[in-house]
Amino acid sequence: MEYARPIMWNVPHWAEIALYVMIPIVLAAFAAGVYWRARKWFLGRSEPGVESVPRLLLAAIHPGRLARWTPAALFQSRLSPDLFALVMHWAILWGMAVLFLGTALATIDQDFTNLPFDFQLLRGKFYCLFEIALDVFGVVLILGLGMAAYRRYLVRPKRLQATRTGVSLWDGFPFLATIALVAVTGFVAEGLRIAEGFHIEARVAAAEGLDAKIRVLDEMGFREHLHVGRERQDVQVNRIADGGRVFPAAIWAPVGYGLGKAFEPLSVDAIRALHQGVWWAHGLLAFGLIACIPLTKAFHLISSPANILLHSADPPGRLAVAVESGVTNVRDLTWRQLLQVDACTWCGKCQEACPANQCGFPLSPRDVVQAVDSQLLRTPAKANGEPPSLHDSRVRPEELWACCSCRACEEICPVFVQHPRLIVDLRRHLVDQGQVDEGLQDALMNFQRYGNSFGQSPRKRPDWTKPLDFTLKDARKEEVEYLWFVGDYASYDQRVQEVTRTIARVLRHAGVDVGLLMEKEQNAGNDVRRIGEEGLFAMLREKNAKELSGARFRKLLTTDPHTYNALKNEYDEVVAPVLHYTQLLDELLRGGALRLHRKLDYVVTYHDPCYLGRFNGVYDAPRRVLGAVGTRLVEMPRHGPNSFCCGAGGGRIWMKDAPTSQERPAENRVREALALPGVQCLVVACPKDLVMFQDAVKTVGAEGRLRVADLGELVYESLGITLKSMAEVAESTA
Amino acid sequence: MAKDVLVLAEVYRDALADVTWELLAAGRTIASATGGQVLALVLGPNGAAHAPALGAADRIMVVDDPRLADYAPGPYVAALQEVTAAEQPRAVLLGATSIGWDVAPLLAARINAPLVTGCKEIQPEGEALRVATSFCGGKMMAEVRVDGAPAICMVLPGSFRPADAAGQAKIEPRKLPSPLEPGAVRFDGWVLPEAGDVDITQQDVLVSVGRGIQQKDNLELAENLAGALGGAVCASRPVIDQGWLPATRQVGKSGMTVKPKFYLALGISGAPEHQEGMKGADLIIAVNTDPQAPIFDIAHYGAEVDVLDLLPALTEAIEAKRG
Amino acid sequence: MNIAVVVRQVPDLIEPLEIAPSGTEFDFGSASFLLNESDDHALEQALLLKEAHGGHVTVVALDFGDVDNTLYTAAAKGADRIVKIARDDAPPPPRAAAVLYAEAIKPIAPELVLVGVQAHDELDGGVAPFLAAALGMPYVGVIRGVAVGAEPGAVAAFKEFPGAVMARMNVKLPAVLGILGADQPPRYVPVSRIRGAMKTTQFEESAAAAVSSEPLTAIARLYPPAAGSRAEMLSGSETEIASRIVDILAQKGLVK
Repeated sequence: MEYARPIMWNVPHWAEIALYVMIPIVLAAFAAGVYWRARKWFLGRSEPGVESVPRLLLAAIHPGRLARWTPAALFQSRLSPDLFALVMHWAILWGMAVLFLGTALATIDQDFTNLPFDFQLLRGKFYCLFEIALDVFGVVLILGLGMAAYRRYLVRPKRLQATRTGVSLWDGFPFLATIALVAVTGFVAEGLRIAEGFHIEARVAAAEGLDAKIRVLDEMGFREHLHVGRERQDVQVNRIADGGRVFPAAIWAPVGYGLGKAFEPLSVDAIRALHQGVWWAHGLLAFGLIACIPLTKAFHLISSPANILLHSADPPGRLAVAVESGVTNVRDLTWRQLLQVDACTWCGKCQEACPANQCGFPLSPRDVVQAVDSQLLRTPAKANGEPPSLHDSRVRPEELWACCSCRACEEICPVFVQHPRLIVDLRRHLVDQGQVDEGLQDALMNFQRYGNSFGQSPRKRPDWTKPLDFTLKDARKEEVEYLWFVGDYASYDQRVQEVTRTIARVLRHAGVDVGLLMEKEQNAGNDVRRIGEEGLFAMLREKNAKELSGARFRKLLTTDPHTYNALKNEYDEVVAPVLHYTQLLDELLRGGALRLHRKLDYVVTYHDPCYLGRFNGVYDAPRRVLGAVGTRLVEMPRHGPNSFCCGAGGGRIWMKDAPTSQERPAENRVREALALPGVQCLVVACPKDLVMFQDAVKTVGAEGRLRVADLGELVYESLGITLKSMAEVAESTA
Repeated sequence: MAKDVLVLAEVYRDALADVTWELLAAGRTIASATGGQVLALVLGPNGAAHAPALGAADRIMVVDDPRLADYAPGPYVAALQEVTAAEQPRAVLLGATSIGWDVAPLLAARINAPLVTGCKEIQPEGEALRVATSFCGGKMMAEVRVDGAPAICMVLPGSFRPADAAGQAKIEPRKLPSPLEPGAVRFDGWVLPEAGDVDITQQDVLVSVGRGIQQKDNLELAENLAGALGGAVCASRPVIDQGWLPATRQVGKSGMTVKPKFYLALGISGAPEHQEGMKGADLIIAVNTDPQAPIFDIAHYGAEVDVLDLLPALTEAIEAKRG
Repeated sequence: MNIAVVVRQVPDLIEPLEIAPSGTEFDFGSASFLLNESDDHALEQALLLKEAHGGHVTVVALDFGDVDNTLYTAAAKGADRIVKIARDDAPPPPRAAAVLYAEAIKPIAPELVLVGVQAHDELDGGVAPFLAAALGMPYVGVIRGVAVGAEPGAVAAFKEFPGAVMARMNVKLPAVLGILGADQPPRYVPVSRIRGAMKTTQFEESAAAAVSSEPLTAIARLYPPAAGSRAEMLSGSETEIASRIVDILAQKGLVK
């Protein structure tokens, strides 16, 4: 005979009514809370490139997008490097989710099928499955909470503690403890219910004869406990009188069953009274929890998946600009940015990944996000006038200036917050107010005046080509296949110039048709934009775009990842493909245009430049080139998307070190390379990296122990050509 | 025709300005061409006390007036004007100092006399003067012909070999016929730099050490040299990073920007970050074993030796010179 | 306080200066011009005084070089009025230029006139003291920082002396100050603000007065200083090098 889930077992009628009164109240409170928070997102401006939010939402419900959303939102895929966090999150989220879904299913079972139709879904084998699922996930949830407690109170990671923004090891305690109580009271209530079943079974077994057994059941109020129609009551009564179990599925709820055994010694009255009490506690705590979600950091249950769904589809290297003069208060941010700060779970992964933070600079990307979010929460959705400034006491200038805009924070953020964009927006306000670091001011003035940060004459830009025994074409005068946009460091820095020439020789050797903009090239403005000088960026872009439009070329080439990023992602005027030289070298080697004559037997490691790797996903080309020249690559622990910035980005290269800094990011990185056994050479693919790491090798006292070389230099070495033969090449191609 | 040359022997905080002896030497070149005399003018109540150091002049005039006790442009220019009117010199020489930059042009405007700044060489040419002057940040020289008298020349310190103090000049106290006007600009007290660790930005002489110093113990050699030169020791970033000197002594991008009269770079390769902090020094001498070190690009003089060998020799030579 | 600031254009020394065939003038054909550094400080000092004590800043310039860009930048930084003195050719030498500036400044009737103490292309004195003479105002120069409040109708100007020593000078207004440095380094003004100023700023034109005075000095020849970009290497034993260094120092008056 089929059995079903007991409904409202041992719950008096008045309690049932109370429950039904409370459900809508709780749901209304929850909805009101969500509305209260979500409305604040629309204090912000419209998002550039997004016409309307409803349309965006519609577009987001697209199989491809949802396929990308699901792993990140439902399975926290961005936590995968941290297995402990991933498992803990799965346990808590999916424990809660299954228990919630189970409760919801039980409600449907009871209110939508049983009450009107006297029919239950949760019966038979399906009910057994339901029971075991809920018990298992209840245990999973408690284990997950245990992991959280272990991490918060035994491991005590630094990233979960920040006095300034109120992030502390205890911030999640009320919520997590309540979840734990809900789970525990759920099990206890189940156990007490099962224990009562044991008592009933024992009494029924003790009674002689069917009538007596039925009488025992009636005396114990079994029929009242069932809350089902008379016919189905009869079926159950007969089944149990016949020797069936009161709760045949109890064995499928091992935790409840075990607790039932434990509570069995109590009297029936005690069990019933306790059950009612615990049942109430469970219900009230669960209701309270739901109602409080929008008011606590648990709101990320809503905001984080929403943010991941509505995340920008732009490439990471394209900086969105909503307000050129920068962000003063929360209303200057866009709705997407406000959603992002609200989606933040305070987890501090960004802080751990941040090179500035690791080296003792005064920046935690999480604290910046939290400072904005706390101001957002204090701002009424119907704000009259300007909300208070986000600057100075909330977000300090030194925090903003510490950022290398390396995007490590954004890359690692489990909920897709774009910290660098927020930081640049806030920086723009400082620039607008003229509050810039002295070194930065010099660099910006030089950009304004000369189009380069070196304060060098624009006429000297092509001077690096002078020592070459061949001339490079002027792309303004004759058509070329590749227009080489050289960049500042490659053109002006004495240490880099030789490397630039080496790359020119390699390209010459491979017969690549390249030309330059000569003295008309100006800095592409990638870092200027990230400093927050949007007007200056626009000016540089305008000038370069004008020169580019006057030149004839098929593709753009550069050795500088910063230039690469700007040309590729931020120059709308540029339609030609943009190549980083590592990509071109890879192409030339694979296509056979570049033949290597010497295998280099070096053991090397490779530093992924932020703007090549994390921003533009170029990881494989340089590694293939390293393989082709014969080197053995030993990866640093932090490589690929997890690469550690040299500290030069976002204008940092022109700023003074923070007084609190313990080391420079470049020194930290060089130490990482030095720790690798047998590595002789740190290979770079960025002019700024060359400068930064060569300095760092000196300052950490590792001169002679680690060579810093550009990828192009290794290719040149493996060409096995001498300068004399270069001259021959020059002659033969002349 | 006027033959004499008037030199303002500037007194700053009870001492004659260093440039004074250069002015006297320059004055001698001009005056001797036509048999004129070099007149030194000292302004201030205690002026006579400085006379013994001004032996290179033929005559020493002291204007002893309480209003000249501290510098103020009004009385200074009035006194200069009176003496100039009385002596009718062919040239008035002043140093390119804080006071010189005030009074030279003010006097020139007052008496409508020609003025030349940045003088590095002054040669008489008949009745005129031919002055070589440095301008455009030292990137250009101009040869200027000055016909009128008196020619007011502001001399760049370090342009002339200072005159020896030897000689026996007589002090001529000058009472000015008209009393000095107080003027609208009044001296109101000195503001002295705060005491503390040595402020390397305020030192005239800096002995700067880099990686080439090798060990902390070797800093003593640099300290000894700095002591002999009357300067201070500073360093490039690697030395500071080692904790051998406090961060207040760091020169360069992440440290201080210094503009001393003399910067001795010892064992510093001269990365651009370092150059940024010291390239404004008047005289840079670099010592490094690496002939390719970029520091030699901006140094005026260089030596390719080990700093640890040179340091004791240099300290000894300076002490010997000082006697 | 009503403050006038004089700003001058000077050739940018980043490019080599070309000498005209005459040998006595520059060939500015390929030169670029920028704001004289100490004038930038004078402007900053004026803006700081205005921000702290209220008032009005008028910037006065000769129409030359890249002066429009300089003036728009000044407006973007907060200058209230811009007076441009129309000119067809290169600015006259400082003493004559001072007369032009004085003509333009007189109608403004400023209480304080701030001018950079020196411009690198001047070799017969700075504009500032001659301007003071032309305006009949007192002058003190080599000033790093100006404070208000010492006594009514006066400012305290801090005159720089060697060894980081400053003389506090009490200056009765109106007066001209030759500024070497402002209390703070000149502020950065973003490009967007300069572009904004280009749209909104009106220049007031001041007709150039005739320059009557004959120059008292004449450039006979311009020539580049003796080459010596790379260090002159001292050779010999340590002792020989040491004694050469001592000689050099003695020559510069650094050891006596």
